[in-house]
Amino acid sequence: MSKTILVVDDSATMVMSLKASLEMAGFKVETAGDGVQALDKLKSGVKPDLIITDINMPNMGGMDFIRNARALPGLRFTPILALTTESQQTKRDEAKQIGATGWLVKPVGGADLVKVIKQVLPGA
Amino acid sequence: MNALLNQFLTEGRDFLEAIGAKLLELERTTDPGPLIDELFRLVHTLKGNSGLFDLPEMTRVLHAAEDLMDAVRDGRLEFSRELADQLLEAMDFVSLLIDEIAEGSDDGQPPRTSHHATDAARLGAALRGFLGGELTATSGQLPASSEPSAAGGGWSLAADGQHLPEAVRMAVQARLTAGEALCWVRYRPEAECFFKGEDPFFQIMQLPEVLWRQVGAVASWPPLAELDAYRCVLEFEVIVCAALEALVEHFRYVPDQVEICSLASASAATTHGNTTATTTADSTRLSAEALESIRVVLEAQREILALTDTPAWFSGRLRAVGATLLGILATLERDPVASGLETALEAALATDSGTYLLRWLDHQTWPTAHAAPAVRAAIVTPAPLGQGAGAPRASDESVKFGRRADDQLATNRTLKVDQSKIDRLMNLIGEMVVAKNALPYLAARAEERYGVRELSREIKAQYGVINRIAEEMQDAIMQIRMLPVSFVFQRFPRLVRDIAHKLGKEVRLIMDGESTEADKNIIEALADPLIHIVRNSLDHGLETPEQRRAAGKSPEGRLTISSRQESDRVLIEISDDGRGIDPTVIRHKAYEKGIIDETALERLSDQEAINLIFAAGFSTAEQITDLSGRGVGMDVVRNAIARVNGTIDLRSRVGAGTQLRLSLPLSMAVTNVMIVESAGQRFGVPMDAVAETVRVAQRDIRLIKKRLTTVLRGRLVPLVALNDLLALDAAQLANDDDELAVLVVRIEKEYLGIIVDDCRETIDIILKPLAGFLGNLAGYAGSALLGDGSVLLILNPRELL
Amino acid sequence: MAIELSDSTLIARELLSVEEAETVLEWLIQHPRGQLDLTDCTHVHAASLQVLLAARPKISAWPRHAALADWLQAALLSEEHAPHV
Repeated sequence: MSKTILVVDDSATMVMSLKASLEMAGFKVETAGDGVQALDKLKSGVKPDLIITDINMPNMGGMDFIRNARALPGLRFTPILALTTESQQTKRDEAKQIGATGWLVKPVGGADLVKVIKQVLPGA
Repeated sequence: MNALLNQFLTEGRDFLEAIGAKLLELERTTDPGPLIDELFRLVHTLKGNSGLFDLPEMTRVLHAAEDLMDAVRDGRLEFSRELADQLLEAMDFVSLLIDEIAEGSDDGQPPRTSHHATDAARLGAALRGFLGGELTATSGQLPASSEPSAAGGGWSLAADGQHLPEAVRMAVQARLTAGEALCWVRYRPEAECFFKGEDPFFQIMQLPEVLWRQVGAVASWPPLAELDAYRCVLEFEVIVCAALEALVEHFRYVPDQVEICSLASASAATTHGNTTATTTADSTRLSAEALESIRVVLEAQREILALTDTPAWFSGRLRAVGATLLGILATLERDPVASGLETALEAALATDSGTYLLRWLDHQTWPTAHAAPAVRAAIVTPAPLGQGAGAPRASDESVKFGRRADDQLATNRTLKVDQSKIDRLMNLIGEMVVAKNALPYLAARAEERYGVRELSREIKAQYGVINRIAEEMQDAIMQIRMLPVSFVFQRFPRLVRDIAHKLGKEVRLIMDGESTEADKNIIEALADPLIHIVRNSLDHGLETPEQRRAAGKSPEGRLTISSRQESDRVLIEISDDGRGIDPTVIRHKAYEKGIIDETALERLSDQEAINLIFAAGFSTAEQITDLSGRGVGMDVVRNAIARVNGTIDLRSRVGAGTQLRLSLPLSMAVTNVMIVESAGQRFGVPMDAVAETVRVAQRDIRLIKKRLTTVLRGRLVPLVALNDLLALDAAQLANDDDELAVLVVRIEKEYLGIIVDDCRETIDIILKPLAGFLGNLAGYAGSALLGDGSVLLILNPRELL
Repeated sequence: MAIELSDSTLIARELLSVEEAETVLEWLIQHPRGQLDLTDCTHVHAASLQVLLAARPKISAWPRHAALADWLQAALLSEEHAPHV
């Protein structure tokens, strides 16, 4: 069974890029445009094996989303990767602190992306 | 174009627009916090997206802008007008790049923008200039504390390897002697790690070749009943065949929970006599990339040595090859003396021939590229290490990209459609409108020629149905082409701000009715004239704060741009409360420029005088400024508006302000034209310009002051021959009664007769502006496709004269 | 469900996940003599691994997955119960 990955990013370009890379690698991809949308998806029964979330988003940013998601039943142990940029070391540490599994450094795509995912997602 | 790139460009433009709007908003708001957050997010996202493509210039500028906004957001830097200016300039630059990329991308790859590198550097530096001492804080350096504790050589086999089984110790020693990189790792995951989605055992399982392993609890194991499965108490210890850097990278998410030591051998590495063994070591130690580079360099040396010419610098060439090979040996950590390279080089120099070196090359065992493809393959489809055949494989169940409909990108109700697709629809409905017109003829023929009245009636009934559908379809397609005037209006806040800034004027811009829609062609035709009008208002209309105060007005001038729909026209009003236009000044200027004569000077009403600014070659500016003094006068504005069947109306009161009113059709797409024939060709003339068509006997045409004229309904009407206007070398044909066909057109309340060979029927056509080189062709309003596939050129009588 | 429970045997297939760690722990507490069949197991989440380490149950069948078997054997068969410091 292919693994499901939830991609949360307000940029349609980033979503499109990640979705394409992930689907080519055989993952099933769910998408959301911000933290609120993503939480709605999770509450409506979408059960991803991994979540990739941007940090800076309107409505609900990545930090709040990670915090809220971790509190949901069934998402206590789900790997969450924060999408950060090169210069956001403090953001990474903060994300890690509140429950992210790791991070991806933008731009991310193709082989690198899949490599990182396979590192945190057993059975992928 | 690559869909992703396309998406990036489209979204990028949206972002730039939003950034521009937010920056302007920031200058007015009392609560900048949320706006600054939003600005940072926009810049940040745009920068992140740009990184998906090879666009170093764009990324560089955006990166600097991001850092700047970050500093503003954190309160390290005050937001200022200068900062806004700089950011706006940076965004203009990005916008320029986006346009260039959109233009120049045909193979899905963005074109190179390296010719903008200097600008990018300048803008980046300018942005970072605001940061000053902040620079280092945001340079992206990892703080030393977050590095895994990786003390190289802190672990020695002799001292720390005591508890290792003898077999393991020997294996470790052997590997070290063979030059392999070995590390000792201790990983103590934090207690809460499971709640961060971590699986420490999975991390450990992915380590490459493990020589020795041990797993246990950090403290002693509690009784089972007291164990909390979700508080991690594990401790892993391994000796693994991997380089320190690779392990640091592997454990990058948990640097504070691992200790890594590079293993040092008890004895120094011995020189290898056996080249095969060396090769193996080379391959494991060097990256695939490095091995590939070595292969390429070696290949180049072979080619150089194989050259058959013997130039004067031949010995230099041999020495160069020798030096290169020496470098490769150093990279591979091989002994140059033992390898015999120096001997070979000496022999080559002595014999003035590359043969010895070539032979030496052939006798060496070079690291084969075997390792390289393997490594590359591993990167492309990295199967989790140590997983057997029974493990699920991603490729077995991969779903083809784009096949599933159940997880669309977003449930957006708006489609962004390429304009060419809409244009195609336009063309098709244009043909449809024309083709359906053949049905009434068919009905008439059925009745008259074949005498089947019944069929004729049925055809007419069907025509009614098709006609209705075609009209609705046409209307629907027109709706798609409708754009809000905000498309043009949106640039005004920035434009007004910048110009007012430059002129030292204070201007409040009030916009209204931005959502009023009109056809895309109309809206686009509106852009330049409107900008020109706004510039004029700012430049000539509105006064400086001092002048305004002296005149008893508020120092801040008002510029209002509003739009609304009135039946089938769009009305746009641009008004200011500036100094207004003085008719006396205009009269004298017009007289000086020879536009009017002395009698007109006296006779003209004030309104008529003001309208003189639309006359060709008239410019009211007392001095040419770089804003509106570009040699483009109001006559150009009026003509541009007239080209899309619009009119312009100007009112002004001295001291109180000026008001310009533009009236434009909602859609220019369907035009009723009369078909005329001249010199064997057919042309269309828009019916709204046609007053009447008459037959004028040759003898009723007279020459007055060298101009052809005739009298129609007691009015003297000048005549021109269409063939003359179009420079067609033929005389106009008269009919059997020696009468000429004359199309009387009305231009600005004046009548003019155009002599043609024949006037034919009127038809509805979809007018398409002439594109490309033909676009500059004066005298034509555009072209239309007819039902039979031929193209009809539509004349623009105003421009013809 | 990747695990199958009976009174005498726990059979784990594919992934013995983090969610199942508690189930495994409960079962091991209740069945101290229970055996584990890991033949088709490909990975054990660290949470489940520590349950196994703490309980040291009898393994009736080691995983066919060689690397996992190596690790589990190293962890569960080592003489030295107390960890090395």
